[in-house]
Amino acid sequence: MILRSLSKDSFKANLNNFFHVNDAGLSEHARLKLERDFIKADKTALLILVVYWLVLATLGGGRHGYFLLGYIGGGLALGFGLLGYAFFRGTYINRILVGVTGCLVEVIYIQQELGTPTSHLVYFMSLGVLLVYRDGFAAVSSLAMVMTHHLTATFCEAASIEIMGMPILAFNWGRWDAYVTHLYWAILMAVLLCFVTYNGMKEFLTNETLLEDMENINKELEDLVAERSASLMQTTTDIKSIFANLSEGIFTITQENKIDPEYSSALERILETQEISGQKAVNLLFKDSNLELDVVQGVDLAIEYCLGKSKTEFDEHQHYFVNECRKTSLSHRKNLEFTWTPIADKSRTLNNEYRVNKILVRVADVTELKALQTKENRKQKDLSIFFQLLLVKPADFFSFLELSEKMLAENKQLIEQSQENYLLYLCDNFRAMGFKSVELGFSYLKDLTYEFVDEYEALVPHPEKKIEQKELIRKIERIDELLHDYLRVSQERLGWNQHLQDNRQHIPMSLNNIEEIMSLIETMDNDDINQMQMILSHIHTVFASSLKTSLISTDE
Amino acid sequence: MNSKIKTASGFLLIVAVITLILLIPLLPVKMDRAIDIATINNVESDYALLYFGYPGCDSACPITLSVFNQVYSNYPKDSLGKSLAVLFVDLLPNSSWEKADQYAKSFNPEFTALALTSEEMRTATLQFGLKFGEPDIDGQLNHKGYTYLLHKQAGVWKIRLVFTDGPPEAAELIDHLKALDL
Repeated sequence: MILRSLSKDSFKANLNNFFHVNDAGLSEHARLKLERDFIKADKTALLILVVYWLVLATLGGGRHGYFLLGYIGGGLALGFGLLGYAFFRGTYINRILVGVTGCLVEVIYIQQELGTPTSHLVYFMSLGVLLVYRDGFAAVSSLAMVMTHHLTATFCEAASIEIMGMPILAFNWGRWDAYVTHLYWAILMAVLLCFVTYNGMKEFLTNETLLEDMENINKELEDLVAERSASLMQTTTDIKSIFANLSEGIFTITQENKIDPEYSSALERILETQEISGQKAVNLLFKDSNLELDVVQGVDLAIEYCLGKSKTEFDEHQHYFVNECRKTSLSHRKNLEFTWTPIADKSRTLNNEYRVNKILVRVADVTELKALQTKENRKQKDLSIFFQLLLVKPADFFSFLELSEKMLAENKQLIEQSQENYLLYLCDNFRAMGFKSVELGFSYLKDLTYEFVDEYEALVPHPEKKIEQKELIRKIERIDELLHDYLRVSQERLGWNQHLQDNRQHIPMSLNNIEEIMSLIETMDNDDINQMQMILSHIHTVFASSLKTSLISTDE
Repeated sequence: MNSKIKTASGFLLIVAVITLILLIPLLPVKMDRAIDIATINNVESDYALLYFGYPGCDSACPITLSVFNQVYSNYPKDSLGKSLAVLFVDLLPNSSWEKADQYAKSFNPEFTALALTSEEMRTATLQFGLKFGEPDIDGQLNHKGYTYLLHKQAGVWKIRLVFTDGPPEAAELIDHLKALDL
């Protein structure tokens, strides 16, 4: 049922394509274009008919006489054509009119030729002219006109019908056989014309549909491009804004191993220069830095190598990309930190991996951070020393201090004198100092002294080996400094006094006790009075216990 | 409404053209076509009225030949100084000249029947635009009854006027003959 309905619709649509009367189903663009096409075809057909008329009238008159039937009759026919063009151009009415007007011009010529068979042949030329139309109205009306005329005449001839005493004859040879022969040619012509015009119309409509589709696609693409452009513009603005407001320096290294013109504003502030774009990254970053030349060259070569290679190869060479340096050429010494990130494009390497086409570099000025870290480390160290001191009695500490200072002075003297086996004595002294440090739990001093011993004791059997005196002194001074750090913490944090021998008011506490008290204070709820009372009571108990232990120890 | 009137006007225009197409064959045709048929060219005269018919025709032929008789009788040969001949050509393929001549002379003894050879008949069919069918069982032949007015110039006959819409009035024909003289 649906198939039949579809088939019926399809037939109607095809019929409308061939005999185009209404524009139903056509887009506005196609309708206007088709109308313009029909008007243009009307004009062309009319012009061709004018030429056709003049040629035939001249031909007929030139061959057989001077009479004006051709010119006047043909002119009259063309008058109808002009009327049709003036009032009905672009419509099916004008197409029918053009078809029959062509017949009229032809009939006049045939009359001029007294109906000779050759004069009939030019009719097929007029049919050819009608191919300027995309539908079949003109051609079919012309053929229908001729065939109806011949059919009527043949019928009248067969029925011996006369008009005004004159019998009607269709052909000067045969009757129905002649008609059938003419019909055969007419049908053949009609089929050919239908085929050509139908295909022409179909092609036109297909092209029109394609054009409309293309226009729609173009419009969609334009919209998409506009949308993407706006989005890109927004993204660019955002990125520029980010680049302008970033506190860190961000830039990319291009395929040419040069810095891209787009970089964050902070980079100029950090590196204190505006000559950044187009520079070699290593020159900009590592000039007058603490990095050795071979390290800088390594970075440069790694950049050169990795650009255009895969991410995997970049990762394999990651160790060449230094992460920090210290620059001295700037207004003040700066510690810079770097992060190197590969940026890959859509192209791929031979291993089917994405190709690195840029390297994103982050530059952070960590000078202040480093200073803070150093300060924090010092605090941590002081705190550790503080806890270490809490576990010893002041008298024991000062005894150790006295001994250590004596050993350090002795060692310095040994270095100055540089006598035979002085290194052995140095190591013995520091081993003794380290041993005592272990006894008291002074880990920093233990580490440093044992480190010294480990390094230099191995050189004792080899007196021929040259020892850097400056380095030796520097290391001894480090131990000396550390010792005085202990002294400083004992004085500043614990209030111990080296010259006040009686430090009995300072009692040692176990580390567990201290941690327990601190934990209780940190978890205490300020609104819970009962809990606070319980905690205070517990702290009291802990202190009392420590005091008792201390007193027993002193007595012993 | 306007659209309907306009469409109707368009169809009226089409009908007008179709009507013209149907009427055109009825127009008399003036021409100057030389005749290339020896039998006709051998006829000695200044003007000639030519008709293609057949003996025994009971429709167009007797009417036309009667008109020719009136023309021939009333044509002022002496005052114009030009001779007029009336020629009758038999369309029947197997007819005899005698029969045709007898038939022509039955209208006027001065009329002349011409017997064209088969080849000449084929030429005549093309040159004169003859249309005729096959004779039926009663011997009747369906044919176009065109009247041809011929003029002999420099020894060659030329078709000057063809009346396609049946035989004209005798007076009209005489007027046309006089006009050819001018």
